[in-house]
Amino acid sequence: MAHSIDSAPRDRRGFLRSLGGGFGSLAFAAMAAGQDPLASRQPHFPPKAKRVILLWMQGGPSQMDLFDCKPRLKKEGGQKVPFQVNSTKIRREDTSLLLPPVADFQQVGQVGLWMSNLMPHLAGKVDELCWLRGMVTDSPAHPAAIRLFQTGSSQFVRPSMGSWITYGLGTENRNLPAFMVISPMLYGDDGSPLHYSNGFLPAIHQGMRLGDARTPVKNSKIGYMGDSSLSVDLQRQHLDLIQARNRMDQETSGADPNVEGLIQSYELAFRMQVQAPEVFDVMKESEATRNLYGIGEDTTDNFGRKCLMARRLAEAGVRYIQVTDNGWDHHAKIDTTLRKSATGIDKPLAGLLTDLKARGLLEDTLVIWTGEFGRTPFDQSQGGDRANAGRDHNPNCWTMFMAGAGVKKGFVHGETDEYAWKAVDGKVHVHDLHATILHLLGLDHERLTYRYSGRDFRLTDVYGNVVKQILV
Amino acid sequence: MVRRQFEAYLDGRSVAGMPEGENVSACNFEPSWTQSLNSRKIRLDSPSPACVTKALAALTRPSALTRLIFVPFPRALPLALFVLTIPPSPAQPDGKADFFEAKVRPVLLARCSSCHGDKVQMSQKQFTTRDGMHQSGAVVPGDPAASSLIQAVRYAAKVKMPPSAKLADAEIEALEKWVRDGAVWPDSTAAPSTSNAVGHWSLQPVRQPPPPAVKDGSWPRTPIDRFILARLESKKLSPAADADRYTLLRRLTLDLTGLLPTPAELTQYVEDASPNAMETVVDRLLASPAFGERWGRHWLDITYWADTTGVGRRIPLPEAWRYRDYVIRSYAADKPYDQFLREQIAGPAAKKSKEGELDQDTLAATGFLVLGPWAWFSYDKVQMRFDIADQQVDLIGRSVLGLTLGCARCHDHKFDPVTNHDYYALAGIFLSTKTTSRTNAEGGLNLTRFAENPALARNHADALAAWEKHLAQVEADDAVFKKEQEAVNKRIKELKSDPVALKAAQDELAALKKKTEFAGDRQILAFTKYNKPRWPEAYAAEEMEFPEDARVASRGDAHQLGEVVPRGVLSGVSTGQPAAEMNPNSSGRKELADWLTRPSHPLTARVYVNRLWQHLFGRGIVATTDNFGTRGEQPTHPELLDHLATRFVEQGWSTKKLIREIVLSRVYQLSSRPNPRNDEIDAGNEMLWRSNRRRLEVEAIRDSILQVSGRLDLTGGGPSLPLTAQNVHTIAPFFLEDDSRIEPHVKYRRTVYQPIMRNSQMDDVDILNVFDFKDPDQVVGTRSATTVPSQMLYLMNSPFLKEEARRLAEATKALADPARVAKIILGTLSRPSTQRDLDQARQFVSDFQAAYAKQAAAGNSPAADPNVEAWARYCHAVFASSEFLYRR
Repeated sequence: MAHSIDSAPRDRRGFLRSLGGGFGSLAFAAMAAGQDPLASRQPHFPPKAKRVILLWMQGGPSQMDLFDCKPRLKKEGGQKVPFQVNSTKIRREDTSLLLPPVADFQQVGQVGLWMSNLMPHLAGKVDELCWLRGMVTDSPAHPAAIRLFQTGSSQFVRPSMGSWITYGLGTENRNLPAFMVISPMLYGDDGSPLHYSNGFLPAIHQGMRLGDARTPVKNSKIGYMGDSSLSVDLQRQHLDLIQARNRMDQETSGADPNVEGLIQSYELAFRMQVQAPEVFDVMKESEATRNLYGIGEDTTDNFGRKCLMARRLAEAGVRYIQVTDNGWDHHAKIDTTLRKSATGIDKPLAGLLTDLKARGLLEDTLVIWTGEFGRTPFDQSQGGDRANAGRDHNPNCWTMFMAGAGVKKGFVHGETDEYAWKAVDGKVHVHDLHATILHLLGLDHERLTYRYSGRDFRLTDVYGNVVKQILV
Repeated sequence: MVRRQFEAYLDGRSVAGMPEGENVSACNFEPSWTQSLNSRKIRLDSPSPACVTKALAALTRPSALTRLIFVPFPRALPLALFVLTIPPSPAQPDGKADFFEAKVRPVLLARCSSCHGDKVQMSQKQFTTRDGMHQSGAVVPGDPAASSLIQAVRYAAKVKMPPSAKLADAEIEALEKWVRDGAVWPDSTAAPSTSNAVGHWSLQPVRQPPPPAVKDGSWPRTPIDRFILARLESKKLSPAADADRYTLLRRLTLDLTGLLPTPAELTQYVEDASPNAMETVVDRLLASPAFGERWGRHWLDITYWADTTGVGRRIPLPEAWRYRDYVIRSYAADKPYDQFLREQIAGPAAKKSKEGELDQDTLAATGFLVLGPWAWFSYDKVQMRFDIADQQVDLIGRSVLGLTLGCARCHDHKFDPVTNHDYYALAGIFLSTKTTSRTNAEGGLNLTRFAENPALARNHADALAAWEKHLAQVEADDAVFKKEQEAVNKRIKELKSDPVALKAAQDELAALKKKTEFAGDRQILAFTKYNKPRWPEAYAAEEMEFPEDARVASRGDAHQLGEVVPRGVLSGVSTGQPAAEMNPNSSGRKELADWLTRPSHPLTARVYVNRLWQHLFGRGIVATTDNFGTRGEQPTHPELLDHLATRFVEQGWSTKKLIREIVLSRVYQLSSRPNPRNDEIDAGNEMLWRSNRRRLEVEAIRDSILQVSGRLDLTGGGPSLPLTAQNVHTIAPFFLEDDSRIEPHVKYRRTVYQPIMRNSQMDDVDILNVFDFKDPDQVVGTRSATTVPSQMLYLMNSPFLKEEARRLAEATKALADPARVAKIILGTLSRPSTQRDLDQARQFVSDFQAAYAKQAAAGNSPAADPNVEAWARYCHAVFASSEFLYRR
């Protein structure tokens, strides 16, 4: 029996939209619970953003070398730290000398923002961006800080932000996962599937992973998606036998809604495995588009592909997309390693913003660029060879930016002290950021709750204030 | 200024070399010291009253931890024990307390207390106590406009507070609302508000209801059946027919052992004409080792057990298997539940061997309390210590009592009779229990050594000698390598101008590296040192040297402590006997265990028998197995639950005896066939008019596939973590890498013996990540059985199913089609095959084989034998279909 897809769509975008057709709702209407947990739902109030692209820079990008210009740090670089460091939140052995910024700064954009010269493409986009310079978090340790950012808790196992959002809003395309994670760090030092897990929310809200941080994304596949040893027709033939046996079971031992759900779920999975690869195939895009993202260039190919996939997924109606770039933990040789990291993402990042805007997607997509914390103004090599110098973790401040739906453009919120060591004004804690992201999606962070083991849980636990200053 | 060295005794141990006045950051504290700090009870060897005063002043500060001053240490002076308490404030019960605790107190503590707190009171204003607030005159209850506090935080008056940065709007609004509503400051020492739920059914004494009268006296086989039938008759439901013997044996074997009946067992049972054929089978299954494995895993589901610790990183716990094996052994031996609980909570002290030594078999029992998802990376060890005690309280609550005690960490439980005081009474017991060790080296858990004995000593000495020899070799190799590396490095520096020679030297260096490193941070030498043979140890709880009571922590924040609460048990749960007396010189775990296992306890037996019932029927008599509070579900058969609880205690808390009674009932043996008439009345089958069809747990899916394919290895017990050089990442604390593979000798064992990680399971047992395996960090009395597309992708495409299906196809290759289908169907589905099965198989094999041959001819895929491939796919489809995945 041949498998048939809907009649050929007229254009690519039409095709992507067609994936969101009637099938999903049909399949799930029949499911045991009688209600599709991923059906698109109205939020608490009219949303600004319909979906999120989180560009996750794991490791902690250095704010004073990229976006937070500190002339005094430059002037006093190499000198003794002139203030008392008594924060319990950092490792104390590395605080004797100041390390100057490793790049020069210049004013860019109509807003005249000071930015280092490490990301020239992004510099052309500053008028689109909303900067938060007073980000703060609780811990200087990667695992704790990452988990706080991704799940709202560093101590306990909790659902991730993407899971909360699909739980709150459902999805616009039932033939694709609602929550996609591209190339996350999986294990090892600071990776963990907990960062995109559903926690105690229903399993359907779990992030679906494509590849992992160590594998170039062009060689990555979603787990168990398809069987390369069989043609699609043979795979269908195999599935037909499974389904025939399922129906036989229904006939001989009595119809059961769970088995009916199993039958429907098999069909959905099959559609997914036939159609998802299409969405992930960036070679379906024009050469000009691929060039825009730096695809084909050695330094930017990998991140460029991830960004272009993210745009294709956003366009197809995926609710929450996370793109990971790791390696931002620049403890040593920051002069060269940070440069490399920045160059690797610069062109793709600018390309993504350009492309989203050109397609009108930036109007209802929230783009977030951030790491889990910032870095210290101190020289971790303690006066050793400057070429080996690097910076340690700093939870007291970092810089991130957002773009797109509902946030101000060319706007800076928050300020740090003269060394970018601590936020002094416009502090935004991770819980506040969570509250703000949910707000942009039309969700009240105090009302987005899930009852588990006798208690109502929230992404923001008992914290969080919406950062109204950055909203349009 | 010359800093003098001081010495202090904390927790009975000398802490040497702390300079006076040093700011000690939280991360420098070992958990066991902070255990003392946490309750502000500390033992100091002090030279003079002045020094003591100074130390105490430091300790009573809210953030004493960062400014602890150690006092001089003259050994001549006697030890003194200081206990600090803060006097309780006057009672002030009020309905607005929750708002204050949730929205107001946190703001005052976080934003005001550094200048207007317990230590410093600028402008003579203190905002951290009720009296202080009211004496300050800063609030006029009911009138925000007249309250200087509100004007200050609004930045509306001359005085703008806090001066550093204005409060968030929401915070200001909260303060204003609080003042407007009367500025109520509740008193956490107020009398417990247990009026909530004292009449709740689960807290009433267990009764002994007589089995009810029924109309159809011929139907019931056991008293259990009378309880069920009475409800069915009252609802006008008719019970389904009895299940056929094939279905019944499959159900029983899966429920009791998690495996499938073998063809021989099926034949034997189906042909057994004796009246007690069922009893014979039940007794065989209860006695099989597989019973302990299946039911031990059920118990592990309601613990935090796993082979690793840490959140995020996989820090191996090489001895954690001992607790797993202890649980399995206990179930296999039908250890009385009261004894099982006492061993796990109070520890081996509850049972000593004749020689007075610790019983080695039960040494690992308190792994129940010790093994957990502790956040070893936490820089705030005080909070961590506190959070561990919190999770232990919650563990006892959910797994043993069926209560959500965690809610009472911050306030009296809103729905159940558990007060904030009760919570801290229990927390004190666990704060007085040693769970963690002083270092992170072993994942930071407390280890207890096995007692000396000659055989152990001999084995250990042999292993140590072999290891030392091996280490010497590795060290020698490493020294050679280092020397060579140095030489090459030196050459590289000199060769900078000669690219060809430089390249050659660099290649040489790379080759050298391979000799002692695997990759990245994984170094042979470091790993060899890590692998030093260990004297047998178990993760076990021990008593703290100085047991102490806990202090109420505001909103669970270990740095915001209130009054002391004496250790004790839940005041709102009555056993009809006097409350447990705590021994002041011990943690209180023994008293807690004794209280929990009182035969008259209203919850312990009910919660446990309900779990057994759930595992046999798919749904508990109380559906919320971990919540017997007012927020849980009502029992569908309250009298039956009490009947079972009574029988359970009467029969010496025997798990096997009760399971035997249940499975010999008629209601357990019903068919699962639906009935439209009954469906109209009770579609959810709450009254149990038929058997529930339910998805197998992931362990049963994996184990039975391996069983049918002939690959299941029934060896059990012992370590299973793959602590191999390739897997272990050698940065302290050592952790497991992602590419870890399960070692060949473990890989095909039953799932309960596979290494269990905390974040996600290893690639070789990826099926656990797909089919609702229990999250090791949570108490999960009732697993979910989801149906999501990722499961179907796994069933269609995973190498595991493909490989095992192929093995089954190969194993049946010699048989003619009818015999082949009969064998496959009997083995996997535990029933004789039908003509329809045979026709379907033949049709599929013929179609698929042809299409496959065509694909192979077109060169589109590696050519396997089309016939073998087709039969493999047939077996695969049987595994992937509902009849296999569900138990009827």
